[in-house]
Amino acid sequence: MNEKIAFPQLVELVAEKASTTERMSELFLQELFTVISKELINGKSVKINGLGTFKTTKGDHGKEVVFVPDKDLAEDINAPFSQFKPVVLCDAITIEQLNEIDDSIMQPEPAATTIVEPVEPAEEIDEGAADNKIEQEENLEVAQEPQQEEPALPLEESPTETINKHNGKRKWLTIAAAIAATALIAGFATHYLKKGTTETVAQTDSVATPRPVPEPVVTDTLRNNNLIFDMARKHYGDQAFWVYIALENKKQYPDYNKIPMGAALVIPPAEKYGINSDSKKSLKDAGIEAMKLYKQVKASKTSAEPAVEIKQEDDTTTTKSLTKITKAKRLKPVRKQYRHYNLYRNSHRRR
Amino acid sequence: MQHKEIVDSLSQSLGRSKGDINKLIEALSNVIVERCSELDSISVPRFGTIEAVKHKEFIEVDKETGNKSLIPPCVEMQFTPSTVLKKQLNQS
Repeated sequence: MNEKIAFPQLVELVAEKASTTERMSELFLQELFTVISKELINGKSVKINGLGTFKTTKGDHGKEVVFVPDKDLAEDINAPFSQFKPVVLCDAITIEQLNEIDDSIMQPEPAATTIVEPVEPAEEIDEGAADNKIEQEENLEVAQEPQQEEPALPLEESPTETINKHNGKRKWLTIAAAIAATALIAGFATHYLKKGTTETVAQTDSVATPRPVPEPVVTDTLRNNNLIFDMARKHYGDQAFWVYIALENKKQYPDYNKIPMGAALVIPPAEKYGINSDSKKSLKDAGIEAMKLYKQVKASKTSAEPAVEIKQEDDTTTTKSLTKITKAKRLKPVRKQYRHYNLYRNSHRRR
Repeated sequence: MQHKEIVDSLSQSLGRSKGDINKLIEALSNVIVERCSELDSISVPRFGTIEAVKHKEFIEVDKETGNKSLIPPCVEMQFTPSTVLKKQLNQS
């Protein structure tokens, strides 16, 4: 980290990589850099594939050299951050708030494994900051006991609605088919029509329920890089709709913060809750639903957590409660450059 | 000067094949990627220093819409020419 590599060291490294002698690599590097500097002095630009372009520009203090790295090179260097994408913040979050939370965040492995987590309403972030320590323990537990993770839980209750719908369709189709078939048998039409339909209806009732649904219910497995927000973004186009996934799986996992890794969550069809990522109303509804769910879950908690006042529109109260928590639970500081991402990452998993 | 011309001139002056030169250039870029992703700096005498500078994440505000967005951190490559090269550049 932050080492200075001198020329002899560079020669060694290049010789090792190219599996040639050090003499050869030294000659090559000397020649290469003299060629580049000659070209620059002549006012020309030099492009080297896999490395980048050196060119001169006119600055305040005469000519200056600009190095534009090759696209691949820049991508390779930025690989640890490739998973981070610009995140749109809520209006309620300010830089001061984020800075206040800094000190109270703890994270053991900040490097490439950190995950960008979408922003939640500010009130929820307060809670997230306070409960990081607990989450920490939870994370460790998960890491230590991977055998306990359930791979894919069977889904029993939640998809009933869709099953019923499909059953209805199936019934009608079979009835129509039965009618058509019986119409062909001219002599016994009226007699067989009644019998045929009742039979088929009975059959479909008995057969279709245990069978998998024709149009399968969409499920997604909760993973470290595929959290409930990621699912919402993937399936509905906006992370704000996470609440519907949480609601759909509420019977199985009453607390959306305690869903174990590896759990298969049912993704409800977008029409069921009127999800539309383009409409502002739908987004707003999702926010209201999230707040309701949050309050429900919070009310059901029995643990003695510090009570955080929740007022949706009042920024000042949230900052006050925030400072209270940060003062009360001052944990080890996290590596600064990842702080906000850790915050978002942990914010939805608090208890 | 394009990549091809550089490879040509280097293979002539070093008496090596173009394939060897390409291999060496690839090795150099690999070394730069490895070292710069650890935020090291590589200095070459009489030429300059290639270093990786890390920019922290920051909040950007769209002036038109007022939307705030958090821009992730990134590593930027920078080249600082040596004083020798700077002098030569400005003399010419």
